[in-house]
Amino acid sequence: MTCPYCSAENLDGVDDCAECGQPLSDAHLADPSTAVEQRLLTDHVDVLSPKDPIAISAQTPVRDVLRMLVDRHIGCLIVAEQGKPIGIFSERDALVKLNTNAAALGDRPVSEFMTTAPETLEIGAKVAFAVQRMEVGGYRHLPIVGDTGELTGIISVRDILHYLTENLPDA
Amino acid sequence: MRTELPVVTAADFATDQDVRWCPGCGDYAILAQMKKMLPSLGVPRQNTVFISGIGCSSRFPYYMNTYGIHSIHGRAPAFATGLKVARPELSVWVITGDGDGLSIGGNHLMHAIRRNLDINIILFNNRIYGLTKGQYSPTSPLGKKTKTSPMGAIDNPLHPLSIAIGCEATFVARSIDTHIKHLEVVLRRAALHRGTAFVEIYQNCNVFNDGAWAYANNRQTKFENTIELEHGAPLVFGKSGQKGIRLNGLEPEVVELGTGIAENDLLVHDEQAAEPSLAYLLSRLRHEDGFPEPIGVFRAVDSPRYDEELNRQVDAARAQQGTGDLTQLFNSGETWTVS
Repeated sequence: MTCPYCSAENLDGVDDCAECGQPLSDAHLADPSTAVEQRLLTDHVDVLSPKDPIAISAQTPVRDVLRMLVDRHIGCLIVAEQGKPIGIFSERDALVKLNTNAAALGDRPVSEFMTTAPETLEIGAKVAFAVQRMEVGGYRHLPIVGDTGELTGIISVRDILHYLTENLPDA
Repeated sequence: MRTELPVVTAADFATDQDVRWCPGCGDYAILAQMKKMLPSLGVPRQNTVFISGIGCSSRFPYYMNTYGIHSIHGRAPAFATGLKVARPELSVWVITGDGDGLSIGGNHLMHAIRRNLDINIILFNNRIYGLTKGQYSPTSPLGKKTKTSPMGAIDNPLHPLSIAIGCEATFVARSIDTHIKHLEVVLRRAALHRGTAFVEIYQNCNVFNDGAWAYANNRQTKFENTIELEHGAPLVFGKSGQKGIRLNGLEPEVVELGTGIAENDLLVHDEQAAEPSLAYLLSRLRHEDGFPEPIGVFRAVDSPRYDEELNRQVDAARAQQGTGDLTQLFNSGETWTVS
C-alpha cells in the first residue's frame, strides 16, 4: 500500500511505513471531535486544487503589475527567479505601498514594493498547517513549492473558505 | 531440560491507548523505532521506565507498555534522578521536547547531564510549542512568525547539542524522525551507553511548524544538507560523497574532493576524544551558514556515573556507621514542639 505521508510503497499488512516510520492504519487514532477537524488534520493542500501562479520577474514595472492584477482578476503575483519565489506583490501592497502615488511610481520595478522571501508551503503540507500560517502571518495567499523549492501553485484564503464550506456538516 | 525464553517483540511494547498525536506527526516514527529497538536490549519491560514532562512528546509514556511517569513540566530529569539512584537496575528514559527540556526545564536538564546519571534523555526538537498550538520555542529560528512572535522571533535560538556538550555530556547524538534506520541505531547506541545519553531528534510538527527540517529530510536535498558521522572516518558528504569538511585553522570549511583535496585532508571524526571541543564544533555546523548538519554520535566517552558514585557513598556510610534510623534522625538535633 502507499504511505499517505511520504508516498512510499509498502508491503500489504505492515504496521508502519518502511520509509518514514509512520503508522499505515488510523485504527490507533482517537476519534476527532468533528468531521472538519478530521479533514483538516488529514487532507493535504492539494485538495484545494492550487491554481497556476502567475510569475513575473523582479524588474517588471509596477504599472504592468497593476494592469495584470486588474485584467486577470487576481489578488497577487509571484516574483520569481529561476523558477523559485523571491517575493510576492499583492493587492494589499498596491494599496499600502503605492496608493495614490501609483501613477508616479509606475516605472519603478516591482522588487521595490514586493514582500520579499514569502512564506511557502509544500504540496504535502496539511490544510491545517496552511490555515495556521495564514492566520499567524495574516497572509491571504501562499505560494506552493516542489521538492527543490520551485514554484508550482498558489492557494488563497478564498480556497480555504470554499474548502471549509464544503466540509462543514449540514445543520 | 530446556527452557524457552519468551521472545519480546515491538508489539509487546505497544499499549491499547488512543494516540493523541496529529496524523503524520513525527512522534509516531520515533515511537515506532523505540518499540522496534527495545527488544534488542534484553531488558525486561518491567525494568524499563519512560519519564516525561509536558508537551506533545511527553505523551510518550502512555504509548509504551512499560512503567512510565507523565510528570511535571520540565521536571522529568529530577524524577529520573531520584528513580535511577533508588533503583539503579532500571533502564530509565527521559522523553522531553525543545520547550519542556530547554525552557521550562532547562536548569534540570543541565544538572542531570553534568551529573552523568546512567539515563537516556531523548529530546524531540520540533522548534515550536505544538501542544499549545504554535508559540515559538527556545529552538525556533530568528524571525520565525508565530502566535507569540507575530513580527518574527528575536530570541537567539538554543542549540540542544551545544548545550549538552557544554554540560560535559558523555554521550551526545542526533537523528531525524523519518530517517528510521539511522534513528534506530542511534537509540540503541544511547541505550547501551553507560552514563547520560543525550539524543536530539529532528521532529516534524506537521500542523504548527511543517517543514522545519525539510532541508534535512527532503529526499532531494538531505544528502547535501546532512552529514552522517562515523567514528574514525573523514567527514564526507554529498550524494556521491564528493564534498567534505576540513579545518582551516580553527574554522571548519566545506571543500570539494578531487580539486587538489583528498580525503586525508579532511577532519576525521573521533567520538571518543576526551576533549569535547571538536564535538562542540560539529554541533555548531548549521544549514543556514552553508554547512551540512551532522547526524549520528558526536561524543561517546566514559566517565563516573552519579548514581553509582552516590550509592557507593551510601554503602560506605552504612559500613562505617551502620544502617541509620530515620525516626531517630528526624528527632535529633534542634527540635521543638509548636503549641
